[in-house]
Amino acid sequence: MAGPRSRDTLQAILLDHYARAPEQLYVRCVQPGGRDERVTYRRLIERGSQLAAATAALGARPGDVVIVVLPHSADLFCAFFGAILGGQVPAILSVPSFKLDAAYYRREIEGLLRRIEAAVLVTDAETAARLEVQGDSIGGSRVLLADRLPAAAAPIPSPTARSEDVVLLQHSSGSTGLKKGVALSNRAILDQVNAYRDEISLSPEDRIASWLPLYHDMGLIACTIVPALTAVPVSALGPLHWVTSPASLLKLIHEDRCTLAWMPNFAYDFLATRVRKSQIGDARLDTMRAWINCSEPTFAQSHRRFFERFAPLGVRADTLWTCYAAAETTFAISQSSTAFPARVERLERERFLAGGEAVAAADPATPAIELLSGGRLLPGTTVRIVDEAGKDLPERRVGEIAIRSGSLFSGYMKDPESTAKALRDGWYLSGDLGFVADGHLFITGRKKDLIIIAGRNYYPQDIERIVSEVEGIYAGRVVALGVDDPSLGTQRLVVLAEVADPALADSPELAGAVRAAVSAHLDCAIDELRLLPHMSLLKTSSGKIARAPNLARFIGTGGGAPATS
Amino acid sequence: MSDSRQAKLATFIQTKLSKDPRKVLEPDTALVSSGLVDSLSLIQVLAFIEDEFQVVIPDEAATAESMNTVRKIDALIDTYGGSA
Repeated sequence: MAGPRSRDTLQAILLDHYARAPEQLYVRCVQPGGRDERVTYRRLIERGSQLAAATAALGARPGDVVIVVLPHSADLFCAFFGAILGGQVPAILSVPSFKLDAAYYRREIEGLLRRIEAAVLVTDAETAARLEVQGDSIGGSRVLLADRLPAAAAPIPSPTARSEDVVLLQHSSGSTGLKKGVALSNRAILDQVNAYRDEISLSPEDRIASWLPLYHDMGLIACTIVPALTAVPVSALGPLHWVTSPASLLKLIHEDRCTLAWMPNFAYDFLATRVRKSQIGDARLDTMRAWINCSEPTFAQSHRRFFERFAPLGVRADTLWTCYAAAETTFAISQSSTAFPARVERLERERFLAGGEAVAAADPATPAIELLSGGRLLPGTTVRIVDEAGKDLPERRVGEIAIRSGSLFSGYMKDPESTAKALRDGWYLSGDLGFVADGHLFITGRKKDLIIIAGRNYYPQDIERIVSEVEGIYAGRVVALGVDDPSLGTQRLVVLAEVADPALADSPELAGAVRAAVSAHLDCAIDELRLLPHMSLLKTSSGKIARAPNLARFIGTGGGAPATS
Repeated sequence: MSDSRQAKLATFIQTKLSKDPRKVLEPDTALVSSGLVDSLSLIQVLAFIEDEFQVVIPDEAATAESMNTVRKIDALIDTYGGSA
């Protein structure tokens, strides 16, 4: 088949790589115990086409949503890109962890499949068994078991997609029930890929090391789609493998001479404090030209800790970059680099917390907070910092960050109401707070009380609802909050809940039930739980239980707006 | 299998890693799935096993599921270190 001429769709570019360099490595998919899988462009396109043909045979037409729930494996990449080749619209969701309550997860995923009218769920036999799939459908979608489909030849689809077509969905944070499918067009993604490639000077000499999940924008865009479209190879560990063996990332960088890695802030502290000398062997990290800190609040302290620990292995200070990104803008909004280093500012604490003014603390004795910038805006990206009324704020004043760029999303899938709230007159209202100073964008907090723990996002409402449903808890009298913990480089989850019966205050059994419920429904652990007598939590004048004042009262921190990052 | 080894593991996890140190850990108390132990803490259990029992659990065997109780962790030590 002749290579397609136009390069304005993902489909066309992937087929072009296939025609030019089919044997080039796309991803080395590392598995514990050495059972690695190597995915060349030939394997990606040919196996992908086969999976796309199988989903089409189950009724997925071009434009239909295909949900992919597969563990870290070659087929995860092949199923995702195969759907794109077939003109279907893929979305990756996480494989349910063994901790999750299977019946609950099944209900949630059924709801999501119905809501976005997914045609096919691509998964494996083990996950289907956990979800108790009967026959070959769930939630109105047909089910394809990728591991039951032996490799066989299938026709390679011809490129039919158009630039404006929605090509994939990224799912926003929140429990499955609250997830919104962020719809991205070919044009938006290619705009991002081109702008980002230039900003970070990505070249064929690069090699990406990753342990990130693909159901999150940093793993999906930076470490999967950008490299696939620019033919940069990836060395990928699975997230579950990395978490019990963080040193394996460093050994992989050494072995494959990797040059780039993206990680959430907590990973810098985790690597610095948990990796042992004996686990690294003689690994060197000199080949790395950037460690990009993205997708949760960044701390300068985490960079210092990482640098001190790994400088002897070849990590250079100017390779510690930062990035601010959102699924709704495809990925990056701002970026720092060796050419434009992230700036560290010490700001007067009082003026910052009380008035949202970012004033540099002149005197070292002044109580201050330290912020690390997210770098400069990508070419083609514009931001406004606006107050509650939508009025523009000057430099060094904290407000909501509104963004315009060529890589904005098309909308939330089948959710015009949320789309209308987030997209106004061509601007995306991020819900994040920040300010601009001398060309640097600083992110200072979240308007929506979003909790980010170890790079994963949780809505407090989700946690509060689940805790409310535990027998013994006074329903509706629960608050969940994320509290910055600089020693971990991420947030700690604090839950305050009132009990229905005074005898249950501080009951160890009830505490155990609350912890287990949050773990089974959201796959996260409560760091600090307080069970309080009824009527303990503070209410606002409008009768709402506000989060920040209760945090200040019961945990004794000054948590509240705006959070420091 | 060893009772004293299980006791050492339980004490370490309860006092150093558990989110609720009041909760006494029995051999079959769920650790990760109960929300008592964060999966990010499992690496510290592995380090403890290495220091205390001179046993290295290979990557493919060290998962949140295979380390979800003290009894299961103890069995991993048996498998990869011979009996203590």
